[in-house]
Amino acid sequence: MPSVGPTEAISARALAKVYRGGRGIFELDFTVREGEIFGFLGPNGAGKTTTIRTLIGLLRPTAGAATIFGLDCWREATAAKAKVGFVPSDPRLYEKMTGAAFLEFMASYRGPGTLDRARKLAAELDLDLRPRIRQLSRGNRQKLILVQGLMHDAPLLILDEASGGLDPLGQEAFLTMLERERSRGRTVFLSSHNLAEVERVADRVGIIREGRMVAVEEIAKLRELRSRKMEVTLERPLENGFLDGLEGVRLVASRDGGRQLELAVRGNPRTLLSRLAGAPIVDVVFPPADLESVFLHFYRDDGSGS
Amino acid sequence: MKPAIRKALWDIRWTASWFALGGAGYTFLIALFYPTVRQESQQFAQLLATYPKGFLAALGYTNITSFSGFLGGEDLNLFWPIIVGVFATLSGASLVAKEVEDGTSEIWLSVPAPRRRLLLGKMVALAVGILGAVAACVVTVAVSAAIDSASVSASGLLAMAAVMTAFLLVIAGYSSLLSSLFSSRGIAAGISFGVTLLFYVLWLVGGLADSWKTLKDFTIFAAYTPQKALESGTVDVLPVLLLLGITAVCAVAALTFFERRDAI
Repeated sequence: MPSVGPTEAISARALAKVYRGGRGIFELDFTVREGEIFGFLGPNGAGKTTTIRTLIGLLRPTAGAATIFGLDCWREATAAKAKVGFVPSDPRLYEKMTGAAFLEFMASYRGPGTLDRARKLAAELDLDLRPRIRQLSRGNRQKLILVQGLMHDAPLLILDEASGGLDPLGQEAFLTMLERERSRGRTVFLSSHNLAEVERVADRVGIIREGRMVAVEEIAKLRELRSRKMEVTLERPLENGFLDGLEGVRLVASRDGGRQLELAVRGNPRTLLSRLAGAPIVDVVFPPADLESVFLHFYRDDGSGS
Repeated sequence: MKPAIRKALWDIRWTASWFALGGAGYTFLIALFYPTVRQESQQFAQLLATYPKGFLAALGYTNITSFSGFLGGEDLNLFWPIIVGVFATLSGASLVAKEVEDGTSEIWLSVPAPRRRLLLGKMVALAVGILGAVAACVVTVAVSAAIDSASVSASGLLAMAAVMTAFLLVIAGYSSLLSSLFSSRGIAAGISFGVTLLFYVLWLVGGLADSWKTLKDFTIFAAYTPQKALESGTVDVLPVLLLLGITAVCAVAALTFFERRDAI
């Protein structure tokens, strides 16, 4: 095992979990620094949950190793889990229990004061702990599992698609909570396929595709790399060369005789918007960047994309 | 381990109660017929003499005129262990497989406790459930004997309890091992039922001829002698210890395998 520095909350070295049929994760190498929010991005089926289950000691690596604060995730799983607040993706819970009984059960494995903190968090998320879990809506179940993950004030939070099922207000509260945890010195490993969510709070991002880590980047670098799609509807087609010289702007498609343009915009759109201000515009759609725009970049770079 | 035991007891509370009640209720109902059988004992004995030996052996009939013989033949030797054996099998087969099937294993194993301790907590709770079912039966037999003006000794009741407990524990033991090996309750319970049925068939065949008698010794039913224990107030120590030994081996194997396997 390579030595692990004290500032590494998570360290994966050639970590692999290969299932029968060849799927899984392969030779993952990455570290998560103490005190940062590390976004773990990838589409569904990319290997995010397998990675997390390996980190949390649910799956035994087929090769390589991972550590949490220097503790091996498989051989020292119990000690490692004591340092982790874990929120699984789409969790199945003990349906017959009430929210309060569930938290009490989970808190019984943690230190003193856990239950008090759980109640405070539940109040903050406006979560009623009295109904049985089977009676809770998807959003409230997600809140419950979030409270469970945060209640013992663990130094490392491992969150797998943790905002799924939350309404916009709940998502906002969730992201605020993560920022607060970081300011308290906690480390967050945030798995998501929601780029906007990760961009807002993460310091660095790891991108996984088909079980392999294709990049680990600072969030600012990621913003530079990813392209956003812009759809422009015009009264009449633009003059030839209208878009020439605009750095980071690429014409993807032109329809309706040039009246509808699809552009890929990378980096700051200010220059493009200034130039478009003089164009006969009917409508402009500029949605938030999605994960696909990031992957397009990396697919192209490693030559594996089409 | 306390939280694990508490939670597991909470999980099985209704199942254990209903099976215990079912077993005890059946015992009580059967015992209500004993005074009639005692009054007409000669006719019943003549009637039973007309049945094939193998059939009587299958049901565990030996002496229908005594309280213990009647209860043994009608209930304790076959029907009670079927009722409560189903509980031991299903609950044992559920220990790990249910968590995997229900998708709760992720939460169950996310707590900072060794896997073996989490599973051991469930095993202890199941053993408590089995003891509860046995205790319900023992109390029912004692009460029924008092109602029927029949005599059973305290040592007989204790010996019967020991035999019943060891028998159910071994079923729960291999069901738990199968649950640890497979992620499906259906497969674990199916194989477990199959194993128990195989033991029963071997035990039956062993009773059909003297030359096949040895077959009986290879079954868990060889140690299951509640009627004899109730009558004599003693336990055949070696077979019972053997059952407990097999239970322990199965439990250790289940814990060892569970600790090394993928939990999903």
